Amino acid sequence: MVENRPLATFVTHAVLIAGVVFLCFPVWMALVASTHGPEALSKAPIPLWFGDQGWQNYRDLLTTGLPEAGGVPVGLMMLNSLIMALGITIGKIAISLIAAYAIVYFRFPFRMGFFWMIFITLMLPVEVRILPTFDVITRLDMLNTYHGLIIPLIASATATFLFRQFFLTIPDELVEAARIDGAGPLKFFRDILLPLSRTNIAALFIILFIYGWNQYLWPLIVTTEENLYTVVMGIQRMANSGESLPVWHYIMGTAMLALIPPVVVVLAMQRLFVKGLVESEK
Amino acid sequence: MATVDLEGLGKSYQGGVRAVEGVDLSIADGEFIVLVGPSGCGKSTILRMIAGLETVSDGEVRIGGAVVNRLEPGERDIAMVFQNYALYPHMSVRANMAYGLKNQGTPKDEIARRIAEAARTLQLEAYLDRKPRQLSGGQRQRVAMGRAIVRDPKAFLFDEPLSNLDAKLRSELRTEIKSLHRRLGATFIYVTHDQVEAMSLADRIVLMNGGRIEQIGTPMDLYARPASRFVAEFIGTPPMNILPAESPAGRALAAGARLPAGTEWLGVRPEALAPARTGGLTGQAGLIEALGADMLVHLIAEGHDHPVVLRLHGAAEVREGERLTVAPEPGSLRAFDGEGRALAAAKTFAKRLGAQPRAVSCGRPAT
Repeated sequence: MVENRPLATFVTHAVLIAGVVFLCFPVWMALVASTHGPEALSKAPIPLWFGDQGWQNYRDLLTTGLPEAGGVPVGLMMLNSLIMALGITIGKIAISLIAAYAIVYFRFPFRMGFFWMIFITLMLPVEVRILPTFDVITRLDMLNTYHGLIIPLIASATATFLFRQFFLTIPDELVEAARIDGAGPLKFFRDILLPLSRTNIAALFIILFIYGWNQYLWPLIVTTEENLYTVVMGIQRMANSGESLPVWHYIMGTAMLALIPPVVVVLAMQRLFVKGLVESEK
Repeated sequence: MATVDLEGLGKSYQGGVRAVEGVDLSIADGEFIVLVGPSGCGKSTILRMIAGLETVSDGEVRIGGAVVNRLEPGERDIAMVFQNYALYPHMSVRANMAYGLKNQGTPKDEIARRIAEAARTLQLEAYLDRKPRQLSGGQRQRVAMGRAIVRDPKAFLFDEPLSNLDAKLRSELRTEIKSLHRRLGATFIYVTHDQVEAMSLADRIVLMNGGRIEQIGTPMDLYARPASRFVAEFIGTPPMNILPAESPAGRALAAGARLPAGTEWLGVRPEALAPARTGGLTGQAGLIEALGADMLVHLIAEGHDHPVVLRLHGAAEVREGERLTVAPEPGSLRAFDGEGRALAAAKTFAKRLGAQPRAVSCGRPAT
């Protein structure tokens, strides 16, 4: 349908642009705030344009340990977050791929039983099982370690279920052709199943990375040493400054920095992700 | 290339369903065998047991004399072409063909040489770097055949390879498969439900029914000397006309013929019926299907509910509603007993007085 009504076009665009402004404004405010000094944000009018403290603020954040954030540079917190998010993402994908492979392609006793057990854990979020999990981690002496941060979050019923559904759509003949071509179970997994799951893996990577990056409650519980703090925890600590004035310019700067890795992941995986939606390869 | 022998082969599933029972079959080296039958007759199950995709419940499968019952499909040295192509979607045509060889540890230059040769044979040279989804159905099936050829296997297995293609491509690829067999001289085992494919491709046809072999023979054997009513009605389009021997129509058809003892059913091929002046079966021409080269006339015979189909020359002048008298050609009448088993051929003594050559028009019977 081709329409040529200038007024309608103008109104649609105006509405859309208003929406964009509305959504982007908080991000803009954070970006602007991170370039001012500590006082600028505590008194009216709040600045809407960049200040001159930008370089100074970000240098402070990344290199020096701020007392407000527990004396650790934000750079280290970002690294901690990155290690945790990547560990969770890669671990979840690897484990659920293997679990789904076992459930779909192998006949073993109580196969469906195991599947339903995995499925039921979907209904138990981290918060519900946090006490027993904490107990286990304590007994295993994994407090204040990277694996303590990662391992309890590494199993994913959602991802297992998604991969299972995807594997079920792969025609049996493909498995049979591979068997005739002399591919054993591992070869089939590596040469056929993994490449075919590529787009699913990319989509899950985005979702799981953001999930891992945004973890707050679990790192808060298992880490007591400052040099294991994640960036999300850091922001929270800075905001909870108690008696003194919150250091808004640093908080906003940290928030901006914390945005970068998820954005990079989305941009990097987007092409693959969209490709997976557009083309059907089966 | 090798012989394939099946001995007492059987397959039963949980719950006691027997899909295949007591199949004995010796396939010679370089033979083109077609397994044909209605759906659910066990033909694909047999093929899958030969391939090793299905476990064998009873009996033995031997390839090249060695029992392969317990071997993995990859260790049996066979290649298979599937109905839905089963190409690896993420691999190029070249990689699809190379995959099996790579798994066998064939040297790279040898793989390249074999792929080049197969691509030339199948006219796939221009498509080697494409992905399967960029190819048409016919081309995909050629790639699947190429994947089989490069393996240089002991036997080629085909599981309804042409069923997903349109009629024109199907007949094109049929000729291609036939000439491929001639060129390679390898053992081909081919499963289809299409009797035209079976007739045109096979050295020998194995006709299956209900998990058992109904008849094994050359296409002409099955056509001219069916072992049972089932075979007679399965092979040939339109199928053989079957009439009860004791009905008025049956008696009219067999007039002057000596029937073997125990004959309950008579069978006659549509093209073996020719208009005759006297004697034979009289009826009214019903539906007429003009197929170009020939014409099928559905004759409503007196005292018989099913129309008797006769095949006349395409130029024959027959109109609907016309009365026709037809008689079987000598020796063309088949006799079956009450259970549908073939008896010796009925001997026709009838002199077909004034019978005209089939190719010419058939006028009104002179009375």
